Amino acid sequence: MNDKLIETFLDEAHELLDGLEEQLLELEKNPADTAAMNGAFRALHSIKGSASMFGFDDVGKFAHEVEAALDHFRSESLPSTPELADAVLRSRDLIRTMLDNPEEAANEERDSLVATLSALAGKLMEPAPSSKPRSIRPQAAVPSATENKTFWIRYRPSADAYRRGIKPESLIKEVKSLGKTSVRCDCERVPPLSAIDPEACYLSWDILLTTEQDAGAIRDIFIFEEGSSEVVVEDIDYDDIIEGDEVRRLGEILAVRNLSADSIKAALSRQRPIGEILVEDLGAPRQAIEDALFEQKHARTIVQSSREDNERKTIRIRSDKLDALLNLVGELVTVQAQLSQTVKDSGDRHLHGISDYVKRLAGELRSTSMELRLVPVDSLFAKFKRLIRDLSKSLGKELELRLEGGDTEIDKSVIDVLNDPLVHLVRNAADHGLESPEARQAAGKPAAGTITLKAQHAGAFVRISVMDDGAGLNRDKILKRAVDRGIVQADVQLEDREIDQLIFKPGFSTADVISSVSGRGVGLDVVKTAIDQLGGHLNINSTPGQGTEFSMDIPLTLAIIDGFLVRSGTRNFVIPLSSVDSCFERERPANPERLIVRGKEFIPYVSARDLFGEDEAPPEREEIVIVSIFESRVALGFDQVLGGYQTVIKPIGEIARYAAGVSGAAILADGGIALILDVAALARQS
Amino acid sequence: MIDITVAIPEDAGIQAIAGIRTELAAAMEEAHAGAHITLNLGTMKKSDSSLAQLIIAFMVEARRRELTWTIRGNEGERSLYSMLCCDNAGDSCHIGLQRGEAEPGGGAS
Repeated sequence: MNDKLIETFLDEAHELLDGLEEQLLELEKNPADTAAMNGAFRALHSIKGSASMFGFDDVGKFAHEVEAALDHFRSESLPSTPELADAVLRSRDLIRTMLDNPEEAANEERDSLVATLSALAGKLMEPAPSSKPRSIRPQAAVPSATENKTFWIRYRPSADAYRRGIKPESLIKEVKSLGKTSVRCDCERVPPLSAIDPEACYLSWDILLTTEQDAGAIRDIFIFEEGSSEVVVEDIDYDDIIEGDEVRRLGEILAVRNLSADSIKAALSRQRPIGEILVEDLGAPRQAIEDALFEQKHARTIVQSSREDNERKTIRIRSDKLDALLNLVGELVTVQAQLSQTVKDSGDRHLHGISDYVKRLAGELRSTSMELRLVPVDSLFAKFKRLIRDLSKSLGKELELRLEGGDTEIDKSVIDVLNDPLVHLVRNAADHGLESPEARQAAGKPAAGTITLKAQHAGAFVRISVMDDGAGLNRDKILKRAVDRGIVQADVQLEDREIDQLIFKPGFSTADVISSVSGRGVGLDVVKTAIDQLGGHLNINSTPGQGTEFSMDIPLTLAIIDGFLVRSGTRNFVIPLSSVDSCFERERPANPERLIVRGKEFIPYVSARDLFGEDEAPPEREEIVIVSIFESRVALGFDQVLGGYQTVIKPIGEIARYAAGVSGAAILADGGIALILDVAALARQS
Repeated sequence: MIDITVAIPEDAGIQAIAGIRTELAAAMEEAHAGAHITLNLGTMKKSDSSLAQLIIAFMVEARRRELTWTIRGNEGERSLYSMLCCDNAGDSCHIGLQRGEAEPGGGAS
């Protein structure tokens, strides 16, 4: 089979499995949530169908077993149980392993899960079908099957539907989730109050659904109504109603639906309301007009929505192709800077105009390609719901996860690297940070501990925080362990923040018991190293009895930034432009300073000459650039300000670890090198 | 003029529907031609389509008895359209077309 199709299948299967996990976690919280139950069922159904179609027969068969167990609960309208949600979650993990690393998927585990699910469903599972399933949702299948169809669904529940536990509106909501719908309810048969049996259903619904799904997916929703209620799913030809992106007029729709076109044309020439003409002159039944109006309104919605979709269509692109694009844009930015410099030197006014145009295009191309790589941090945070749930079980602690700022966007490459450090920090918070439920209650706190993941922007940086409302760091214990391990001398005098930093030393752990979660002394130093390698910084802030916050300040992107070019002696530096607050010139002070005064504010001052050294004699005047990063501000002193400069960041590898205040390098238009200043590090140093 | 108010309970799902019908029927019996009945959905938290059809039955009966009525609080999730999962499809929606007598600011359609 075509590798690309397999790849698409795997991508979509992973998305379905993520969705399944989300629904199951919801179901675990709220066992009576029928929407979550149906959502989980549909996800499994789709995985089963598409897996079989793409030759992953084992996955298809196993998914069938899991689906059958879930269906038992669903069809009996039984609420989920913690055991069911747990077993299906573990099955979901196994399906993922079967897809990603089939050799690691143990048959014993599969058999055990099937037995557990069978027991939970209270019946023996039927053997998995050897043939392909009846229907699968096209979104998980071949891309060519994505053309929209419109179905007219007529649903007339049987009179005893309510008594059978059926909620017609829930089924309609499920239909709505399949695509764009128009729904009307016919209450013509509802009798007067004195004659009504309130537990009998007198209603019926007409639904127009425009969807990528096939009729099978719709019938699946009404699967438990088969044989009891009237469900008609009719594929209607909407090409008759929509011509191009225009919706036909009412008369034309009626003509398509069997009223004579000539008589409608004649009637339309008269000056009366169209409905009146059609009913009185042509004898068109009121129902036919209502149906035509219903179709027309739906068609208008579809056309409008299609126009909107066309304006913002999405496609799936491999991230390495985006990386390649960004590399090329980086090269283009460098060449463009060289071109600008050369044209400037030549003094040719005609070339100058062209060069400016190229510069603007390169800038726009850079911005667009950067935006392509931005991903909401929510995609990273979402995974932690499951981790918290599993940690809660394994540690015997009640844990709640709070997510804030999930729509904050950062470069995909940064997201990829952040996953492991965040896992370490969350595990650490759950295991060491949060007390046992008993200890929390004794301290007057709620039994459930809260871990908060938060993201926020600050200029060219994003701050990702992991906060817990636990006991805070035990500094006595940390210091004692550091002395025991020979990390510090026994008689050393350290401030609180220096003690806090000890936990980032390799091999450090205060855990008394080694658990599967943490406590092996591996973790926080790894986290710190990972953040350092990203050009970021890991901060810690702990208050005894109230909790601990780890915050990571990470550059938004690792590739191209808008910079501010400055010079000191023979050296060039680039400051991320988003960090620059203001700049001004002053007479160079005769004596070294630690602070400068701006208005009523004292701002720490750092001279680039002092920091990086310089043999050339300094000019009499000095340029001060004030930069800010989160809550800190620092004034940096240079010889000369050269102005804005688009910068392609070139990593300087290991050197960066020993060059305080430098995060990378940039190639200038004249081929020279400029160091990119790490503003966060400079703010910390000052 | 007699003005009777019936408050729909917080839980107005299928389990509670028979009790609500009894209350509505009692209000009908109490009223006479020209009386006004107010249905208050303002405190209702849970409902489904069975309540919507009961309210429609109430409206049919009220019209037959020449009563007037107001439905208060039928907005957002408490509206008949929402209970019936029905779009507000204007003239083509049968709720409004067949029963359009509810009063402004609280009517059914």
